Amino acid sequence: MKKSNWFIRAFVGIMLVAIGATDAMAQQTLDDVKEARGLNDNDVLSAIKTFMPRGGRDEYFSIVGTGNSGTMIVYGIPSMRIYKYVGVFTPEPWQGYGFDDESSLMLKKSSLDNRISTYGDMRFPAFSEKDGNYDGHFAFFSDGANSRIALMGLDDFETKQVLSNPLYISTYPGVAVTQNTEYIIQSSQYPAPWDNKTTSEMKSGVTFWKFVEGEDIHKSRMIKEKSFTLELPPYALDFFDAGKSSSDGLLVGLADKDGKSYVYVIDYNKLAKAPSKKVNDFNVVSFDEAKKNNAVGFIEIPATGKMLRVSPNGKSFLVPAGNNVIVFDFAKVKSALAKGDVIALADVQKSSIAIGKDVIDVAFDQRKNTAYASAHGDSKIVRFNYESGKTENEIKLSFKPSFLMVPQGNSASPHSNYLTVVNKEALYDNYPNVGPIRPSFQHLIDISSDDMSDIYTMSLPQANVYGSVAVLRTTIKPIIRYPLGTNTRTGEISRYKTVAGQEKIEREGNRVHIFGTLIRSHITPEIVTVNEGDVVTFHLTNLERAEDETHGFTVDTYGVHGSFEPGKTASVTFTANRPGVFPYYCTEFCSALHLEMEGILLIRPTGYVDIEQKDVVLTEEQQLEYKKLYEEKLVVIDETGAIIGSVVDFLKENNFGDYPYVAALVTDAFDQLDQAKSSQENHEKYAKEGKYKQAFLWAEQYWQYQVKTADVGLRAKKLLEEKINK
Amino acid sequence: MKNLLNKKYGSLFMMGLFVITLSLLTVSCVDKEKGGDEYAGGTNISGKPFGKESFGDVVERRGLNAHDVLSAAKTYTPDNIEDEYVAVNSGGQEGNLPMYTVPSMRMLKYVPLNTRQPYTGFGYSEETMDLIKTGFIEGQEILWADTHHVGMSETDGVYNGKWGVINDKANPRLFVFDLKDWQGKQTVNSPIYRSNHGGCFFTPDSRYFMEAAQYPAPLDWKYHELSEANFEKYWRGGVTYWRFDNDKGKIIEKESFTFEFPPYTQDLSDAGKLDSYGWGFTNSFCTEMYYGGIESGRPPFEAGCSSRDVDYLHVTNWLKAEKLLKNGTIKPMMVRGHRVIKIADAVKHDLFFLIPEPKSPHGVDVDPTGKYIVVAGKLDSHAWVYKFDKIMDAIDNRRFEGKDKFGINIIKLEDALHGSVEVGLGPLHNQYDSKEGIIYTSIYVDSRITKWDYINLKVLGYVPSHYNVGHLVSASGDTQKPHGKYLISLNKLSIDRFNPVGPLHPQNHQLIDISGDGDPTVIYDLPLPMGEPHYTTLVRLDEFESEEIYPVGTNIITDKKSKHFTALGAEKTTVSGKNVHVYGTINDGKVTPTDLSFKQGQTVYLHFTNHGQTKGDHYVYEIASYDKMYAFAPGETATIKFLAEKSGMYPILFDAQKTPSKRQLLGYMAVEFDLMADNDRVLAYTDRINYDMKIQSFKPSAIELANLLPGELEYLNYGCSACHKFGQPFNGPDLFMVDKRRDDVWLKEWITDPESKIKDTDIEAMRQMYKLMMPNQNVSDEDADKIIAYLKAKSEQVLKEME
Repeated sequence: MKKSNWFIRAFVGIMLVAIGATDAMAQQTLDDVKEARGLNDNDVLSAIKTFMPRGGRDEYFSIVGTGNSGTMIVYGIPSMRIYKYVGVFTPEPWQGYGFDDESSLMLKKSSLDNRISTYGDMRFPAFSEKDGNYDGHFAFFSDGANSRIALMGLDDFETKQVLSNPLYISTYPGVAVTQNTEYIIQSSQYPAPWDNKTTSEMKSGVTFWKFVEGEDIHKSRMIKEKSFTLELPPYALDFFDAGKSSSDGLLVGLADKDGKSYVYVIDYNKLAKAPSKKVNDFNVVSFDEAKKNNAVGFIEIPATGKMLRVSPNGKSFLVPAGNNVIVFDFAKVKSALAKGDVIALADVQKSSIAIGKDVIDVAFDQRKNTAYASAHGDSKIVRFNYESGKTENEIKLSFKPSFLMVPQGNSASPHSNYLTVVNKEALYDNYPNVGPIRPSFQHLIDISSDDMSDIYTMSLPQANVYGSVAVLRTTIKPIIRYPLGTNTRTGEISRYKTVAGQEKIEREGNRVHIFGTLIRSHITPEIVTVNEGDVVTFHLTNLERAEDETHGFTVDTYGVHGSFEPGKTASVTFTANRPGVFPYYCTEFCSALHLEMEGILLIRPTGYVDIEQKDVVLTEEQQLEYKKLYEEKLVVIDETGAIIGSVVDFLKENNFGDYPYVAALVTDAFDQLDQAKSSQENHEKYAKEGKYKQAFLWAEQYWQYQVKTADVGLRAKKLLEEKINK
Repeated sequence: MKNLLNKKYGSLFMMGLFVITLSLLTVSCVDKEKGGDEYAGGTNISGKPFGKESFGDVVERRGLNAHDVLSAAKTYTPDNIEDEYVAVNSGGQEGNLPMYTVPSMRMLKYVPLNTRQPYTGFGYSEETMDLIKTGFIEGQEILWADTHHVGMSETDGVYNGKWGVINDKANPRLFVFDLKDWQGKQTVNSPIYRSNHGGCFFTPDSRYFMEAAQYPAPLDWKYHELSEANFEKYWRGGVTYWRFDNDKGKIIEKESFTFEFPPYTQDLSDAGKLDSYGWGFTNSFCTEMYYGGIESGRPPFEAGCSSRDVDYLHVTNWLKAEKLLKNGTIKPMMVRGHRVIKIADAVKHDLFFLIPEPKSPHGVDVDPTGKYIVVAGKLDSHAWVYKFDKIMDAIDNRRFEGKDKFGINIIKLEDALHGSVEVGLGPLHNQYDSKEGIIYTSIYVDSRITKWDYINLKVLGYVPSHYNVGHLVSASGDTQKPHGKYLISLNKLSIDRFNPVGPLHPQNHQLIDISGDGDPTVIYDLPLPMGEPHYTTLVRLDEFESEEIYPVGTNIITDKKSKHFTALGAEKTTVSGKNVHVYGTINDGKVTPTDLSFKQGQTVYLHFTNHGQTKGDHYVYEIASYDKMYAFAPGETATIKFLAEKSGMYPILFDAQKTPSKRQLLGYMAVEFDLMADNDRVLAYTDRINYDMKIQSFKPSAIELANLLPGELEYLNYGCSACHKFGQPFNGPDLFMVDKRRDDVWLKEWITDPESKIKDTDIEAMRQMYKLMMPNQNVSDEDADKIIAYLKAKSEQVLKEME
């Protein structure tokens, strides 16, 4: 088996083994499986409603507030498969979040202390909106642990901005977005002084972060200087929601003080025009000023409000409190606010609907005036009409339900087939016991017909689950690559962008900047020598254009890590304070030769003087052996080239360009072949000079590119065959 | 078609028949994909209610075929049915241990081992942070890992359900976790490697597990110039046999040893079993000893490392080595306190041999009987099967083809090989079936799994997998008794499989049904949402027993009663010097004490004992805006330690994780202002800014830049905002209208060279007032001008706002 081209023989092998294998499953019936696994008919119906066939797309993207995990989860409905965790307030090494310079710098900007906060507590996220509908551009989170707010880009699912609220010590872990994303709203939770003194007055507040769209969508950010806070007396504040349509411009939320419960209402457009003062370098409108402008009011309610949600048409808002859901008439609230800051419940309440024991949450769907409420104490969910005040039907559950979510239910156009329900207790007898730390759970309820049914139990690890929001999958339009050299945290082309052939090392005193590139399967540069004590930065650009060709980078034992998606430029910095030999490598399984995507960082000890190293001189005999190897390699290259040619012919004959995924693979295959050109020049040059070792190695490199071309080309061919056969 | 189906097979009780009919209609449904954006997958753009649907309606709406329906039934697991296995994955650069259930394929847990994880509180208590700190290398803070291969402890060659070990490639370390509570218990750093990959492979009795080096480096961690001669002379690989206490779940470092290997870039390993017990097998992929240097004209690593046609399988005898070390026949070389058997000694005592193996191999896997060893080389389309008794025969009869450069005996391929089988392009990893002779190999380039017979040397079938398939796992597939039934293909790419979530894609784990006699079939595609698993083990639920509650007062790292355990009613606070110890309790959601009071600058230790003894008794304790928290498990005692560096009133939040109630306000932490401590805080902040300046200065995005005043960037970058504000004094004097009080020349001198004015009386007065001296931030002349311009512009802006 020596000296033959494994590639060619195997290729012929594949051609012989047709894919027409028999389907083992055809011999097995559904009844067999049902019996073997103890499933009933309802189970099977639930199974086929949630199972996603290979390559299928879920109907909705849902994002979840993970509580003290500080990391966003995005999953699909109805398959309930988790697609991604994204670092928001908590560092996450897979994405290099908090482990590369760009993301660390972003987090640093959110810190007024001498360190970066290491976690957040985020519970109720929100999407950006246009005319009250989700536009699929951004998501926002409030950090209830370390008083921050974050903006997530939904084109690449990366955190783009984290700001510190300069006033609050304790912040409510939820956000609301106004109907055209003019403001992202955040409130304090528990009162605290705003000046780091133990003796000062306790304060509360509601902050309106001004959102400004950039000339290009990637540069949209919250602008601290244009934002403001309404200072409130020391209320404990809870959930809030922004009005829409007729109630646009108003914010309503829950507040408690001295054992009494309230709904507060704020006219933020009036506040924006009211005089403000600077507190901690932030615009603050005083409570008195707000009252003077009839911009704030309070409605006392009989029991503590658990949640507050504005109806899709903006005409009502619902507050579950005790065993009831109180329905408020938004128009009446608005006119009452114009008259004064104390509003009587009787003047603004539409109805109070008895639901069941301990109502936790409400959700809206597309059916007219229809909402769902979770009665925690009665283990049921009730569907009711909030205009007529009548309950329609209910589903009894095997657990105590808490937070609810209907896809798009918090927007102006809710959908109406699915409802997710959080189960906080999670007392499952049959769920695997893997120690004290357990996942969170939520159930998927099928609400597509009059009979509601519980069709899936989903576990969410590393998440203390509360609220979530979901949007139709086609609304979000994620990108698959960045323009070459993008700093993904700022959306700009990085000043450290490096293109092939421009790699370099710059030194200034003990500061060393390495400008490098990443491509299947090598890191340029591969050997770097620095001195002990140097502050070293690797600025790396991933030159790939192919989808999913992410590279990672770390220098062993130096504690840094970066993830480089196609087109991205990121940096890692460390102080080379320990001399020795340190491998660096790509941490992603990026190609068959990913283990060879490596390099060596040599850190020369202080005071050490290098002894000059001489290359090993090859003997005549060795030279001849390399010449032979070189010639053999050329034959293999020709043969492999022929295979590539045949694949290319097949692709062309079958109009691969008509299929976008196939076309993308073909583009990548040709990109790989383009890379090979310089290797060809090299091996021909060295062969001419009689340096056969180098010639052989460069020929080997040429062949490596051919293999990558063939690898991707074969995938394209396979996919094209599938598409044609469909 | 819908009506027809409903009419004919509408009844749910006819489903079995329905499926048979459908499978007859469907020609090839093995891998019929709904790929691409063109497939709406039943996406209902309007969001209108579907209404009441029959089985046939759902099949029709969602475009399911017979294969889909069967797969759904094989994986869907309602609450009254148990899953069968847990898949325990390495997390790759996520650093930890992702787990999911099989066959329902639901994400179950991420066990933290080296990364701070606030959900569990790992890294937020002293106990867990101390464990993380034992993994710091030469003082370097390391808060992540690139975990690669999880190994499960064994007794009699099968999982004993007690311990797991996983290695870190980026920072050669080993993490031991306990299956009783799925908690990390021990972290051991390799004393000699700079990189590892092939670990952790247990011997059948868990006496040892193997960890092989990957990228070679000098074992003594010393610096040497890189040259071909030095690479051969100083660079080394190795395989470490870590002695493991199977009862206590501890690595015994002193009784462990390493075989010194040539710098051949070792890869995966496997320990012999039954017949081959006492031996270990390690492969390698750069026996060329090549190193790249593309920037200086040398061909890259990838070219030079794959230029030979074969690499070497390293065969080591640990059983004999252990004996010879014990009786003193071999004197190990002590490298950084660790026992290393020199190549010459290993050769001399017949402990170490090489056998040619297929080009750039990845997996080396000993079969359940211990008689065969299968190696897949990614640049050879064959998998090679070695026979252990043939290897022994060659050794016994000293039939070698020669020695390598390091004097190691090379066994002739023909003498060791049972045979080879053409399995496909780019074979990587192997897993065994419960049926004799059946093996599965992942085929990278062809994107498929080949099922073949390694005894009779023939291919039996294929199952197409998705792209970049790496490792494979079958149930107990690396033990003496594989279960068969399930196989999982760990695919590194997920193009075209799932809803797109940006440039960084999840991985794709495909569950494959291997229970029948026919071809294996993919029945589920699971996106792996964080991390990049390299290896997985499938452990059946009845093979381990975990507990959800600790005895009251447990330190979860040592599993002993914590010395900080506090009984109910025994809560107290003690102060000694600058340290304050609070001994508190959590009982049924009640916390004692509630309010806390400290002086700024004190070091605080909050020792809380959670007396809760139900599995719902999980509580999150947080101090707002202090970045301090911990999640207490039932029965746990843990310590939150911190410096009370900031003064003020900080709400203490308390959350019962398993109830829907909101975070309660437990009380306040009052930190009384202390001038000296506050100075320390400001100085620490200045230090941070200075460090940032050295490493990387504040660089705003375009939109932020547009909102900055000229010179504001420099003002921020030199850390001026740490001490100064406009309109009020802060840590330093108010800068509002400072340009009216001082002229430009004075300001510039002051900013660039504050020491020059230290003796001025007005400066001394200010120093007295603020207890701080203006630090020299090494501001350049040019930047000083910009900062002065900013002082003016900002003052003007503030003035305007005041008006």
